[in-house]
Amino acid sequence: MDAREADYAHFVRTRTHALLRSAYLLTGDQHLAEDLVQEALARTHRAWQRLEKTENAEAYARKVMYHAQVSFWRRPKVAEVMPADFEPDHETGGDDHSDATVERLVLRRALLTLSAKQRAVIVLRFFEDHTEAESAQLLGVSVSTVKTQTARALDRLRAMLPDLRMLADAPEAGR
Amino acid sequence: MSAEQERPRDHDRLRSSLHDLADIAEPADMYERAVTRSRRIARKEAAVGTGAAMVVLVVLASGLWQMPHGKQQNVPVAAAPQSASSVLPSLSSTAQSSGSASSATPGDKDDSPARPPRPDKPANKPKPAKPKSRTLSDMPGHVFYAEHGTGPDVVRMSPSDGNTEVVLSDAPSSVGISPDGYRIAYVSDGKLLVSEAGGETKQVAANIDAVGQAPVWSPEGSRLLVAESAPGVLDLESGEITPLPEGLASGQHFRWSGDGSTLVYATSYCGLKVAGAEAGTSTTVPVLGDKQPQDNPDGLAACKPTSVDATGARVTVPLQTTGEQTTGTDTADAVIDTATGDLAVLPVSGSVVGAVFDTDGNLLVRTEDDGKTLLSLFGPDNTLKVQAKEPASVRGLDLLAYTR
Repeated sequence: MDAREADYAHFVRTRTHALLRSAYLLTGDQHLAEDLVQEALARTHRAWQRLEKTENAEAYARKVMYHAQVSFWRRPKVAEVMPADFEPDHETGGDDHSDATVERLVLRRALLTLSAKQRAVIVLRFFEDHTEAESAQLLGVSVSTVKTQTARALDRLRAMLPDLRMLADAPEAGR
Repeated sequence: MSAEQERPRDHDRLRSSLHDLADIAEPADMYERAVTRSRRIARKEAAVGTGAAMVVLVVLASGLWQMPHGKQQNVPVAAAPQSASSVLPSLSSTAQSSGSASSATPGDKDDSPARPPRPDKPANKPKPAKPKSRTLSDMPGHVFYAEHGTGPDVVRMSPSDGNTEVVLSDAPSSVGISPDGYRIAYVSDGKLLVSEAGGETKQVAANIDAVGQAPVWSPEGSRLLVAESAPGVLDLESGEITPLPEGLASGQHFRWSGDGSTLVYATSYCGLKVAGAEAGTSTTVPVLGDKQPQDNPDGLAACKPTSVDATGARVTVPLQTTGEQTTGTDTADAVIDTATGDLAVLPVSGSVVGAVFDTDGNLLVRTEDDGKTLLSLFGPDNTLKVQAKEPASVRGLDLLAYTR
């Protein structure tokens, strides 16, 4: 293995989990997340020579990943989610651990009802902490699209997750 | 102050919940998988990126691109047809390419639509056609544009007054503009919707897939060609969908000729076919998508026809190369003769960045030259009716359609 290939292997082995975490939020499924990351890493491998620094490589891989997931011409692959999945869990009063598990499942299902683009802006803005401008650039859309999609996604999450008190205080001003 | 800043704690809660959820993702060793996939991509590209510019120059010199239309026969090449080479430059160029590629940052290059590089202009100075008018308001009809990327706004520009208006924001799918320019069809969550200018939005069908087939209006505007599991024609009055003949079922991106007699569509290998609108048989447009180097020396392909002239003799396509992904641009930059597979030589100067037929067979060509963007409207007889500067308000948008 030459030095460049070794660098790539190192990049893949150190950064894959971080990419998989984002990909999991985008797809809601471990296998689909792995497929998405595999494609992003393969494209990064193709471009490796031109990516001088590892930071560039990760940004590149993420960009490929987001583009692939929200591409106009490619149906995004996401885990199946049924409407009945939204029935609140009536067995409340469990311990904190099971509450947390339920909360995660409900959030996962709520995310999966968003459009691919709405989900992507939520992950970019609130998981990866990108600015609106950075998110727009990564998705290849306008800043105003990021703004409107974020607002719609947050509205939808608020509507679907009242029990969680997530985003609890409904906005009364500034909208 | 934005709502966002007023509610930082809410968003903190969302942030921490997202991090909790992401913890479910398990680590995996992806190295072998990624490299295997990378090699597969490389094999697909291998047929493509060899000596692209040279080939283009040779072809230009050979005059192969001349289109068999009497009036145009001797017009010198203006915008050199785009061709060859790989797409998505930063994604697909090979690792063996020379070091001169230097430091492509991930942020920029792969944003640009999939376009082969433009060859230099030929040595002979092109002689563009002379327009009958240079006034934009002499151009009839409406020109439609779309933003880049996903969820684009669709904009209508009226040359009569140069005004623009957004007719659909955040389009959730590919769209079809009606030939009268007053209706737009699109798909949201599988529902086929039609919005009328100044009117309401109606659902006209369900379970429609707009990925391989944008909703396409019939020339008279009473039917829509759409895809359920297979392509079919929706009668807007009755709501009934009649599947296309079986022989056409595997086609994609169908487009109607202006007289309604002909359908042009793409095959899965990025070739083009022409079929009678009622018949189940079709003929193949030569050259494009052909994998035999002797028949298709430049590796040209067309994955997505965007418009057809009045009779089905010519079609606009984003010109691509064989083995290229179908993703990328949706904007045609070449005109193909469906009988010969030849590229039309358009008597305009600068680079063609958009080309589209209306149902009457008029061809609207958008060119960029020295930072100026021009619209040129050719009649069905190839006369240059109007050539005028495009309003700055549509700068940065992609040409989508030209209608009455």
